[in-house]
Amino acid sequence: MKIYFDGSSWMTGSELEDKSKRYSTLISKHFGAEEYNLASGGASNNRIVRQLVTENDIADYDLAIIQMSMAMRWEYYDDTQKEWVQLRPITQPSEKEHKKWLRYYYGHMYSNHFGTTYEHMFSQLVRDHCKVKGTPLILLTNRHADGFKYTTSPTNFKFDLDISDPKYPRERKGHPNEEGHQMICNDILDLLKK
Amino acid sequence: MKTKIYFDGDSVTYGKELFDLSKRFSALVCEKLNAEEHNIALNGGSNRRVMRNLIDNLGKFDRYVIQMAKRSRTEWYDEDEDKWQIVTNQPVKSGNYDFWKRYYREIYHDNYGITDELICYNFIRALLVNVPHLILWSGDYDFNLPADLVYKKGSFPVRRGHPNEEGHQMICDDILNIWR
Repeated sequence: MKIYFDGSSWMTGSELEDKSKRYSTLISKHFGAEEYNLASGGASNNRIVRQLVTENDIADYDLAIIQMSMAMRWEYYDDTQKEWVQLRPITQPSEKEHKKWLRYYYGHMYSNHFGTTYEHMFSQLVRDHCKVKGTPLILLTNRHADGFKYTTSPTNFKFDLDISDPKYPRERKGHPNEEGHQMICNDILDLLKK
Repeated sequence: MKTKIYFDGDSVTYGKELFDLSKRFSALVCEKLNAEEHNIALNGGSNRRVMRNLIDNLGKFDRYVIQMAKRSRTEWYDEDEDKWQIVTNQPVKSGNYDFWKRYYREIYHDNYGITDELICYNFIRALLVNVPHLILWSGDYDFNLPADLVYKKGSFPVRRGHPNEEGHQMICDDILNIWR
């Protein structure tokens, strides 16, 4: 059995001393499955969709567990470094002009309406893409994880589990601690039983 | 009850440069099929806009015809105007001109556009998997996705850059041929 995981730092196990305690590993161990975790700190929903749709074939997996990230984030392709760069309000671009450009974007262009609309769009794509490929999906969000850095507005779109629920205990910088990861793992297993 | 057909895309589907919009391919297809035309294409429209519109219009129509737009385009939501603004690589009507000029000069790369195009293609196919639909594309760069109808530059007669009446009739015939 192979399980596909993607998301942000909440899925990488950020702040855990022992990464084998992150919920993706706990779930994989539970099923005796191969864990394929593509999550990355600071990941945008654009990255999650890109990796799902253009870089992997989800039909090769028996289960997908995808954690949507903060709507405010996005990404661009940096041709000089030949890599995708994740953007967020706290990003510190190396070049002054880019910094100015990014500040302008978040200050004058970005709106919650934009973010929520695209969050909905990307989430729907993740759901329908997995459905078409025949891979069961658990769709998570941590959209309420950090109200100081990231503004959010309510959405009617339903996620299977909101892991930014304060019932999951956290570490100092705000990521789930070992107990939190175990609880998230248990809740996902409950969802899968249903 | 009349069949309802949804059309979205950019200026090609809108019928730009036609004197009479009843000659655009969406109207011709609907006339032939005695169907109700719902064409929300927009000059300068982007694939992002197509995706956003599709979510809002799922389940409301019997058939869908989606024309994918130039991959470099995008959009943003203008809170002051309370509307979505189109963004093209000549962003004179996009608002925040300097911002978008810099975007196309320093940030945008064709790898981004190609990826976005592939995401949009999969999005349309996934959302419309059990619904009769067609994806068409028209443009002047290499496009390698398996759209149902692909019109590279020179595929149909144009008036300046857009299909003329004859061009629209050709697109209409191609759509009807597939649906037959």
